[in-house]
Amino acid sequence: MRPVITVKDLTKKYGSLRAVDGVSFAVYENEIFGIVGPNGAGKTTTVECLEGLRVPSSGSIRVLGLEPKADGYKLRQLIGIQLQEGKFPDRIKVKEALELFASFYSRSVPAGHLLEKVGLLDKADDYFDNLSGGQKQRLSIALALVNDPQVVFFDELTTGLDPQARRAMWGMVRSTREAGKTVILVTHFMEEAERLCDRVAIVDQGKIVALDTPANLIRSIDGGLRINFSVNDSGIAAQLESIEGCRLTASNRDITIQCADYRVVGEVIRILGENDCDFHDFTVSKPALEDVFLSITGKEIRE
Amino acid sequence: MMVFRQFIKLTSTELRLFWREPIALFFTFIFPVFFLFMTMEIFIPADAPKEIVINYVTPSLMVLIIASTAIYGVPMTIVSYRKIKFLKRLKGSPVTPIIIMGSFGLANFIATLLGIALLVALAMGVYGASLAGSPVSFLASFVLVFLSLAAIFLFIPAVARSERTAIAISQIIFFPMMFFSGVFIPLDRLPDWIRSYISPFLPVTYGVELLQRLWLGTPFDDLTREVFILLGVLCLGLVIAARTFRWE
Repeated sequence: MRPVITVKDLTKKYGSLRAVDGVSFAVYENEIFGIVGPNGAGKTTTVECLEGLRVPSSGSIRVLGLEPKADGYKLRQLIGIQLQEGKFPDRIKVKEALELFASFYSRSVPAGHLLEKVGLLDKADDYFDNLSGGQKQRLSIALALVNDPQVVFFDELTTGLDPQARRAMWGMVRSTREAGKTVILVTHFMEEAERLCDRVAIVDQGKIVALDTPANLIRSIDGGLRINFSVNDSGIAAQLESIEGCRLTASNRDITIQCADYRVVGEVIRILGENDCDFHDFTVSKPALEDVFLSITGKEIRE
Repeated sequence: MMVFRQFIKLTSTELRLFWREPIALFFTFIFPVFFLFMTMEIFIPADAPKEIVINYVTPSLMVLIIASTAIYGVPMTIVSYRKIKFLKRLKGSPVTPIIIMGSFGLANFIATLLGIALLVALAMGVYGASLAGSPVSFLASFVLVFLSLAAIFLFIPAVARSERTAIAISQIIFFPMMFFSGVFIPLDRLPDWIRSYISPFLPVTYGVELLQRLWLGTPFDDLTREVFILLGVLCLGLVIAARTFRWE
């Protein structure tokens, strides 16, 4: 696979603040590359440097072989952009917005085709103002795809949307990739990154703290599985603790066990059964990307 | 060729959006016409010769329309487009800032011109107004007044972050400007201290002066002072805008 984006030592300073601090990565053709991290981590600044909307303080960037600062207009013919919280004038009609943006590019996809793809065909004559939050984002996606771009940037595409609309957006991101495009997805929503991205860069305080596939990142952290349950008699904890490869924490009657593999789960249930111990609310969960962030940075990622 | 297509499409879209903005339509079409009839029927003395007064009123109301575009229309559009990140989105597509700003300017110019066409049609049809000077130099001067006022008030979107602040600033500027620059009240009826210490510092004053005197038949060559001052205002406005304009 050839890289469509390469970034080396990208730094963006605002005064003494290093919003982006020595970031390097490559994005390969036709992957969905996630940039995740808390608000203010430098995600948007990073992609805006790639899009040529911001000028880096130092470092080098190549997108589709072009340098965003020097070849901005050429590059923007080839990429699609959806901005975080980006909106359009209240009184512009859906099809007018599409026609307007289509006029900017040397090649463009027919408006009807795009509207059908994002499910807005029956809204073509509606004002932007009258669209729902999800429909507004669909229009942003359509506008990002109007020039049939090779690389598409989605920045906080689903923030503020209800779960149903969010799922619809995920479908559109996947179909964008299936259409052969490379997707850069910026999000602070870990579940989204985990479900959609082929590879994820976790960003914190302007630096990439981890970069791999979601599965590898999750595997990389200790205590792969987490078992939670409640007991009436917490005396059982001492016996459970003797299971090999298990880390137990008990608070009152709630017991949490972290372990590497599923054999421990069987072992726990056997001990509980042998001791005739009453237990309830028994759950086994795999860690998520969210736990990876917590384990690497020691911080919770929250809106 | 593509630059041309981008420019036309942005301008026509902007004009359409203007057409859907009730406040802009009011200030461009209704307010000046309302003011024309108020002035001619109520404000001027009953025995004043209307066929003469109309030729003072018509050009000053043209400046009213230009000023409302320059002080309200353009700054408000820019502030609101910036707030919703539409300006940034445009910048993220292959359109140059000159195309974006030029198309905003042209769309607003056309809208202003339409407002003035309505005003002039009524002034001529109802009150017999007529242009005594050369139409070519009048039109050229009109363009100059539009450009210099539009440019100098670009400082408003540079200063104001929100629409609310922009409206407040525009209002503080607009009404005193209209009263002290000869738009609402002829300059010679204003107190001396306003005429000597306030009016000369308002760019609108020179717009009224230039258009009124050209309309009344003063040759263009006798108005070089006003022309140069307005050119200076235009340059100053562009320099300030270039230094302070924010896309986001």
